[in-house]
Amino acid sequence: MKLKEWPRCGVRVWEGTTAAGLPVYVFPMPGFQTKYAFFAAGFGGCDRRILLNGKGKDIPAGTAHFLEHKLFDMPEGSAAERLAALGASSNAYTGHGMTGYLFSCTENFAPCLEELLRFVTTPYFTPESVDREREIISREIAMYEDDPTRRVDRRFFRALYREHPVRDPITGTAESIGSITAEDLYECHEAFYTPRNMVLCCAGDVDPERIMALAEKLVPPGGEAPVREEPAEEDLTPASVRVEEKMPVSMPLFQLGAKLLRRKEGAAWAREMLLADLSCELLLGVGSPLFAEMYDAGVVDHSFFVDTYDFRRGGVCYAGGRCGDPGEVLARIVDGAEAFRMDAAAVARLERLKRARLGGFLMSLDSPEELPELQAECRFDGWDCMELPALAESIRPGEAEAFLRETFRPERLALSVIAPL
Amino acid sequence: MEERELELFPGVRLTTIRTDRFHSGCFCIHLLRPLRAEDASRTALLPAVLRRGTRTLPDQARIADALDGLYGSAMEPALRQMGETLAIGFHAVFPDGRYLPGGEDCLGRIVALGGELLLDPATRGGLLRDDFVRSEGRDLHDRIEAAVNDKRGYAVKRALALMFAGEAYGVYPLGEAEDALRVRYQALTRFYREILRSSPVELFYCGSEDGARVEDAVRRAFMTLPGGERLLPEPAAAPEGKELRRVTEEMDVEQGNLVLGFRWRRGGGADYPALAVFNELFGGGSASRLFLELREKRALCYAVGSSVDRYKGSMLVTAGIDGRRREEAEEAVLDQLARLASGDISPRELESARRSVSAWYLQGLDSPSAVCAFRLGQNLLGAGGDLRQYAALASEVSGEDVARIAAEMRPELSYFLRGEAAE
Repeated sequence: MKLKEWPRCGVRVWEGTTAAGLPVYVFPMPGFQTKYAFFAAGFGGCDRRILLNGKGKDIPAGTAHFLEHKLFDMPEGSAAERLAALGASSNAYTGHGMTGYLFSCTENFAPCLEELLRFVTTPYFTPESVDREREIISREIAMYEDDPTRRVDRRFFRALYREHPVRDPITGTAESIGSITAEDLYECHEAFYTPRNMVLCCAGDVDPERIMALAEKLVPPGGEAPVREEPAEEDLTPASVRVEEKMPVSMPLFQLGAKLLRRKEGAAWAREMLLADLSCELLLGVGSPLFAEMYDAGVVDHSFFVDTYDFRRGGVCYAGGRCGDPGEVLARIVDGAEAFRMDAAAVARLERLKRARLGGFLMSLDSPEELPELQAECRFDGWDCMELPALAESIRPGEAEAFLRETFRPERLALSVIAPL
Repeated sequence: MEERELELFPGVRLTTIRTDRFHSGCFCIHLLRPLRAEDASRTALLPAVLRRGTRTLPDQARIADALDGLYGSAMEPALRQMGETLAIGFHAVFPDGRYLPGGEDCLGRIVALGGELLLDPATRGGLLRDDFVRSEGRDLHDRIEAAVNDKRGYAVKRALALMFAGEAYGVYPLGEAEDALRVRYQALTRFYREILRSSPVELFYCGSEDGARVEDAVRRAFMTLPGGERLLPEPAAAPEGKELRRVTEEMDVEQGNLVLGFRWRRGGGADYPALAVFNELFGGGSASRLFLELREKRALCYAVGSSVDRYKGSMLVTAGIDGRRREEAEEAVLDQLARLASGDISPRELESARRSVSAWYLQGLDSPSAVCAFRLGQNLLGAGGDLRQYAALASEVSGEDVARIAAEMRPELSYFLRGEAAE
């Protein structure tokens, strides 16, 4: 393994790749109690079509998430229970582009890691256990259906995109998971859970060489990385300008924003997203004149937020929260973006926001959980999380002004609202 | 870790915990208040109003700018409930100067800002600003009303109000929505002055700075804190045990939310690690009885779990279930509790729960904020022991301890929030 160091940030990382092609990263955190491992496959909610033996195959919405639920099953019983018996707390989650399996512990790190590497690489499903899981997942879906913040978000993506699979919930729907079989899960596991499409990241007071040796021993070679049929690129206009739904909520919830085209990859794309992030913060963050104006007028409250998010072949920037009149928030943001000028005060604010980004990154280095997950995401995207401070530093005021002018135009924005019954 | 505790002024305690491990530090200001229906709203409102501006940084934008300039330091208004006590104030996290490009000292400026927010707010004619009080009152009102948006959280809120009606614990810590709109700036200013004089104050720092330097900075920043007798009233005695009561309410929801409320006892200091092990084994995680029985075996739910409040001496079990399976779920929960109470505990699950709780305490040592939060709780309970000692105690909890605690849990409420279309 190779050691990379960033002495200015006080960070080191060991990097290596197993013979089977699995990338391994270890962040040493001397003196920390927590030992953490994150093992992820590049298979998520957006993977909906794959080429298998030269033939295209559709994957129902919710398959990656279903697989995540079932992978803890082993012929000898539940891997979660065995990890618990070793003193580890385990979990897993499915995103749009990856599925991650993780545990944290303070003792027995090596046997826990063995367990993790084994269960993630050992598919074991029976028709009965798949049927039972369908029930559990249908409860999970019902829970999310009752959650207005999830619903407003999901409707927002459906308003923005016409065809991109990011429109569909990661869990799938009651209908889409109805047809998933044990065979589908085996097939997807074989195609996507191959070392070249996976990554292992660990952090804590752990031994990098031992981790590497276990990964060499326990992660079997697999096929080539999967060939995905990528969704077609969509233009920048939303599918619907405004969508609204009613639910038992106290006052309207809204989410509004725009699509971003993903024309770059790796660190260049990460920089685009950082530019989007800093620009949105500049226009709408708590320190911005526009936020102050909206807050003082009672148009928004402290629930107001602004954020960005990216996924395969796309990204979005958006704002949301609770408010009395979502249409008014939209109008004020459009006017505010049009009127925005990169004057001396804005330039100074951008510099402070860049500083804040550096500080935020430094503080995240104290989390044995955050760093490995960030690095896994970056690896699938083809860059290194330690590039983040330099990327933020490189953002120029003119770029931010151009981004805001381009993005917050009325024809690019979609508004999703959940209104009270 | 090097810990230092001192009484700065009567009733004002500063705890500093020095360690070199982190890239960040934290500084917390807590004023301890009893949870009471008559001042819940204004207590919750006060930190939000104070956070709006100080004499030198008179609005939110200027505070945001100052914090961004301090490399993204955060200084958030805080309201933490511990049983029938509220800790209100501010919670700050900031990057450690050792890793900043110019080696800037964030700590000194953060402590100064904390002191200013608390003691030198933006005022008009010596009173808290009317416009700040009104807009934060509206925000608090909206926040309280929005509790209905989170169905599980709403079910818990209703269950607590019903089970603890007539006790301070039944009061929602943010108060009632309408009360939030009624608070006026003159009355809030009086309340603010009263709070500054009479509340016990707990200040915490965890990071790489030397305790004596922190003390200096804090003494300077809090010099103008008025003197007074700082006392927290004793919590009222728990009422007699009640029979199990079943309540059902309806809402337009897909999934039913079941909440079972149990009363334990107060003042179980020596039993806190055992209480934590009991909870872990019963419903704390994905290897717990409730998870295995209700989710994995019966496929009744996706989310199920139990949580205990060691301050109040109570436990809640929550489960998101199909509206038609309430009885089955309730019976399964009570059955698992009865099994534990009868001593039906395998060595493997006990060991697993002990390890998991020990790990949880030890992992608290990895976060400056968690270290401070644990210490605050211990101070409030008048309990000794640090995270390491609790981890060691958890690893010694016996099956008998767990069975005893299970037997002491008395179910008092079964609350169900169900869909209107459910049978």
